[in-house]
Amino acid sequence: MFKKVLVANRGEIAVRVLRACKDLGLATVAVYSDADRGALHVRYADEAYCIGAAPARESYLRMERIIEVAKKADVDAIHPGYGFLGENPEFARACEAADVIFVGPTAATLELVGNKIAARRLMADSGIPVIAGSGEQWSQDKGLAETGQRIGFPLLVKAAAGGGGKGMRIVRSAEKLADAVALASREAEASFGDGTVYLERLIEGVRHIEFQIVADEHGSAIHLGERECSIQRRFQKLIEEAPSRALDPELRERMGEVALQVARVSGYTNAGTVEFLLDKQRDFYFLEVNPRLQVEHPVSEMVTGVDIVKEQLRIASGRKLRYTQEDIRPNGWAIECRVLAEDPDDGFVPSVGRVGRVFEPAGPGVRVDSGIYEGFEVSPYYDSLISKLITWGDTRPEALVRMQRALEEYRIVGIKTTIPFYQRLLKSFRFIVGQLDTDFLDKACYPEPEDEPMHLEAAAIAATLRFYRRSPRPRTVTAPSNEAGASNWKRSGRWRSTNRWST
Amino acid sequence: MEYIALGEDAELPVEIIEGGRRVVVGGQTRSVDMQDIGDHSLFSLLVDNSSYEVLIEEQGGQLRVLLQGRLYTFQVESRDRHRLSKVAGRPAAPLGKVEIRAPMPGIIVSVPVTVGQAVSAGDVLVILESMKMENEVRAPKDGIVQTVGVAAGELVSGQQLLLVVE
Repeated sequence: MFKKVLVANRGEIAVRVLRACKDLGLATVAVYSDADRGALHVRYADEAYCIGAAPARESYLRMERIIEVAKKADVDAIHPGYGFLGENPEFARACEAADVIFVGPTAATLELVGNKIAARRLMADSGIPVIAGSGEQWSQDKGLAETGQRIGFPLLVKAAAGGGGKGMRIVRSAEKLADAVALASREAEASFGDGTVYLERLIEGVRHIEFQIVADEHGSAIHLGERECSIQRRFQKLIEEAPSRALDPELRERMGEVALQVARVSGYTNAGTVEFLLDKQRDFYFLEVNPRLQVEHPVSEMVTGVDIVKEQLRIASGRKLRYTQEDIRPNGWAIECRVLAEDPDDGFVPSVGRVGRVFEPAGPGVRVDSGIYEGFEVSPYYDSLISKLITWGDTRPEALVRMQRALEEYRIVGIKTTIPFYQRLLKSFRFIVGQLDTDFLDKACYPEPEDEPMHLEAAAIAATLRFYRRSPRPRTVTAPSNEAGASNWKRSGRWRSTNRWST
Repeated sequence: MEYIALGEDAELPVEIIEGGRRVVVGGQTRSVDMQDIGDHSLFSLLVDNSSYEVLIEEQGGQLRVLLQGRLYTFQVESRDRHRLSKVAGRPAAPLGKVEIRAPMPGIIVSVPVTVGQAVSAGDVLVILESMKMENEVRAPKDGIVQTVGVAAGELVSGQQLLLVVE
């Protein structure tokens, strides 16, 4: 096993990886940008090194600087987390050249699955079902319009190097195709430095089902069952759960087998995720491989009891898998809500600033993977994911009720978060019965919870008391009838002017 | 003190008596106790013996109250002021000089307007990036750009003056 590990990331995932290292008794090294001097991962690690300025390309994306720190701190391995250098083959290769182990698949696998067009072609050739037109490009002689017509509308324009919804466009009619391709290509170029895009038939009303796989370097591979991530906003996952209401044991076994086949043909090692779309006819299609630790990995951990990050580190150090497929017996249900620093009541605009107070939920079946604390400054430089709330229950309803309780317990003061959005969403009938699909939020079909009259009254009382306390109060008023009007005018004026520029 | 809490679709008269220890609302007198439990924003509220936790924030002259995941937005006015504003009517679109400020801290991506340029309400004045998302700051009214105080690449704080439209 390693002795010392560098975590090349920040935020909640850096903290998560550091915890696994500590559980394994490994020494830890954090890297941080100027904006993150006070961040949790710096505080939790044994050693910390500044690697540059706040913008990611001047710090968390600087491979040579991170390798330099790895050499200086004399670490055995680098865990990249997700995002940043998480699935970058060039970085994996740089680690190898520096004689440091990259915790993840090989550079060759990263290259293979990183190109979505090549990956789909390989899967299709291996007899794995892919979506019509998957990986379809066009050439001079076989024009774009013709290719679009053949695949059929609606279709998706996707980036070959894509991820996270960037460089992705839905096209519903032929005349919009050329513009969408140009736009997606520009976005892909800006985000990934590669403007290659491809077309794919869009299937609506589908579920997003993914399988967690773990493979060692000795030829063994297992899956940890599925996660359902159908609740998405603009192709970004918001709520994930494990298992899925849509799978029965037979379908689970079949999909799990295909996931392992994907792992085999791509020469996969370490932890990864195979994504599928599942349609209403229960046909499933390979979507892509995420060759890294996923944001939503905790739901699989909660139902299987496997610490995925610990397994990643063990496998990367050359050890054999500790589990066989038969050892994996998922128990109960887990749900995760991604807590984002965004204002759900104002179009999800980012909310940055100082976190004044935090009250984290606790109690049975509750897990919080967070990167914030009281006094922490949420900066505009990085992703808005600040924390993940995960609940577990014997059954889906129990996990769901616990999630509702935990969301109500979770108080974050100073910045706005998506917590209230989840509280409303989780009360919707469709979510409760598990009728999920990837259009769930776009259809806006979840009802606003009914107004509790007592709540409206309590809220009005709270607002009025707040207003009353903030207003300069008339002290000993000798002639109340005369002064009331005048002071009220002044008070309103002052109240308005002091509040105009506050958030 | 008599107040009106103006909600989205409700007008609730709330009278505060006994120095804030009781309120009269909906014809009922209730004892109230509101304690600050976090940064002057999070409060524990007892109404008679019902216990609530409320997160209160001021925004644009309004009070946003978050209670059990539901957002209630109120404009609170004294009853006298409320009567007057009813007579006077609501102010229309802003007149004269308008200072355009950053809605959040972020990095300026671009400023597609220049000094002296005529803009219409809704035109994009500044594109601001925050947390990997681009946000458009739009003109609240028609006018001429008077000054531009920021340039692409610049880091701005929340509420920082970006430009002036007149």
